[in-house]
Amino acid sequence: MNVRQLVMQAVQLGLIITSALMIWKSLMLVTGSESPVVVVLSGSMEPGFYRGDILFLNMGKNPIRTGEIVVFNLDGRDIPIVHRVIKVHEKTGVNEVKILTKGDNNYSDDRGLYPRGQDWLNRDHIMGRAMGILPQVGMVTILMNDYPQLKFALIGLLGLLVMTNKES
Amino acid sequence: MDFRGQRNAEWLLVRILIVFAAVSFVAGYSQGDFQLMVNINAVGLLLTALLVIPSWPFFNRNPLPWLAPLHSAHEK
Amino acid sequence: MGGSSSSSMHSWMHRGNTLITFFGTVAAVLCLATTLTDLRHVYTMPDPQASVSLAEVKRLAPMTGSKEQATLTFSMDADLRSVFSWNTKQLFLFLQAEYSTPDSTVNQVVLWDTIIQQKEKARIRLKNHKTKYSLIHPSKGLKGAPMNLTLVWHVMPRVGFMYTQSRTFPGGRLPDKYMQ
Repeated sequence: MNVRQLVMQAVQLGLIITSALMIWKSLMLVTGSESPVVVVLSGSMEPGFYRGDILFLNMGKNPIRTGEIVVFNLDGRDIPIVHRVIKVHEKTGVNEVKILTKGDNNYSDDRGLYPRGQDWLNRDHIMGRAMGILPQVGMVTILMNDYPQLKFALIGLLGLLVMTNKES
Repeated sequence: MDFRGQRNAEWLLVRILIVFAAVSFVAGYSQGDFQLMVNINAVGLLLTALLVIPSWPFFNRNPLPWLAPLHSAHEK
Repeated sequence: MGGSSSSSMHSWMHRGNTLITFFGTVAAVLCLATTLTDLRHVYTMPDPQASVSLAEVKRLAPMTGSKEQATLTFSMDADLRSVFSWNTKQLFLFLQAEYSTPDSTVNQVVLWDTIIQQKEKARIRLKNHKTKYSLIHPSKGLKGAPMNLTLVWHVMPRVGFMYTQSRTFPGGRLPDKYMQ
């Protein structure tokens, strides 16, 4: 394979990556959410969501209400949690709301997860609301996290597939 | 496989997967059984893979007519 | 999908690649088609039957931290079988109390919930049933507050969009005085 073909491969790969990035960024704009798509990482919402399911999120300006499945970040944790809102108390006149969440499969509410001294979530904690589901497609990302060697195997495989996809 | 075989293989791949997908959807929807649709598709995928990925002899029926080897100057 | 591989040694990889990507496309189309059947289902399904009533307020008392707690029982008769479609994985059914206090206009507190995974199990009849979770208000204001009981079902599909439906029923007024 000569230099020209190598460069063509690199450009093709670059095109794939940049289009994926463009799609991701536009999804962020359209849904108004920082992460328009999220992979379910724990079993705390079973049997509704299983580890590896993909959730499509939306944010929107509507007030947070009970029953909604929200994605939120807690101070000090880097992985977002996907649980259901079970209590809402909105203060009159002010734009202040107290939210309590709970995983469907958990016995108790999430207060034990919130940092000490924090009994409620407010709107700023919420990153998005789950609107739709695609089952198990995200299992790949979970496996790659649990077994990092898979990441390299996947990159190698992708490289191989791009090369065997040559238009002659 | 030869070039004709390659094209036939891909032709088969597309047709079989589409047929299985259509059948699975109709079956699953009419029976109200989502798992049925998944299973039929899985069978279709497996069948197609077995049929199309290995270089079966029936994909090699139009081999390229290579020229006879030219005798080089230093043959024994 | 065209283009023949110039290296016949790796042409099986090319076919494998085509197989996986085309199967992915087909699967995506099926997912879309399935979601569309759900859309049709939502607009054509018969209304489910449901009724909820407050049975009794057993307790209304202050709690440490200037909070208030109410303990109540409810009765419920619901038939949600018509909500199930072939794409429905489960219904998350819950009952919530809705009320207003002077300092807090919107209050929603889930009192009870259950997961229904099969259409046949979607008929629920409860009489004078205890709540799973307590009604705790984070400040004062429960005395004499008018209350609604809303039954909500969250339809969770195998593929596609989730949606919620609900029915609201009057729950009367909470007692004007504390009672144990």
